Amino acid sequence: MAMDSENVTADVIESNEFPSYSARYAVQAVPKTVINDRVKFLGAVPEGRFLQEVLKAFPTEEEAGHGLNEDGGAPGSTATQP
Amino acid sequence: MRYIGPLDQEKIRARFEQELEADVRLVLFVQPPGGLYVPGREEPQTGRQTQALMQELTALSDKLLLEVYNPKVDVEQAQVHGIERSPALVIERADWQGGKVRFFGLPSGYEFATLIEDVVDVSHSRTRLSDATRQALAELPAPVHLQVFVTPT
Repeated sequence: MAMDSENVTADVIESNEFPSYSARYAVQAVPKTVINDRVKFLGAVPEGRFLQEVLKAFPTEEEAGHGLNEDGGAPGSTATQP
Repeated sequence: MRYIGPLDQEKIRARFEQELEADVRLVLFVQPPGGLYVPGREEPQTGRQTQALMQELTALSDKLLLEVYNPKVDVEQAQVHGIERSPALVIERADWQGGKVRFFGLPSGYEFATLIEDVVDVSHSRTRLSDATRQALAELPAPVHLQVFVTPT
């Protein structure tokens, strides 16, 4: 995907070599994919499903309108109401 | 010590000769071994192996160029590529229009095969994604950061 869009950065991280960084994302099994710190899933998935997960990684209009998840919080995370 | 055996070298060399088109730069960030230990800072000791592996790999084709930087010294290069931990490898080509493809840690085992696939894909600028996915990627409203955590297998 990174080869098809300048908007995409794709990282492969050897989790054993970066235990603290991996712990930040609660990596207990691999492969674990994290998209924009918002969407997380385990295992390999088909291309269409992967794209759906990528598209979920953006704030919804409602969230954007309320200024939520600006810090990349996970979906469903509690947020302070204005 | 060699990391890529003679048989694998020949297979990879033949594949590169057949499939590589444009030159590909492998930009590697490694810190020299030793130095000051800072508790809590993650600095894997695989930099030397990663550099040796990349030297062996890039020796298999004239179209592969290896650049090596120390992220603590070559700060500007590290910032350009967004490198906050090492060893880190960035795969790119001169007329690159895509995003970034990066490996953190020693790309061994299955990840070495992934690396070779990525090098080939970057070189001929083709992926196996469907037209529908490409179209969706062209319309992304904001940057996407994909992180895939793996272990060597």
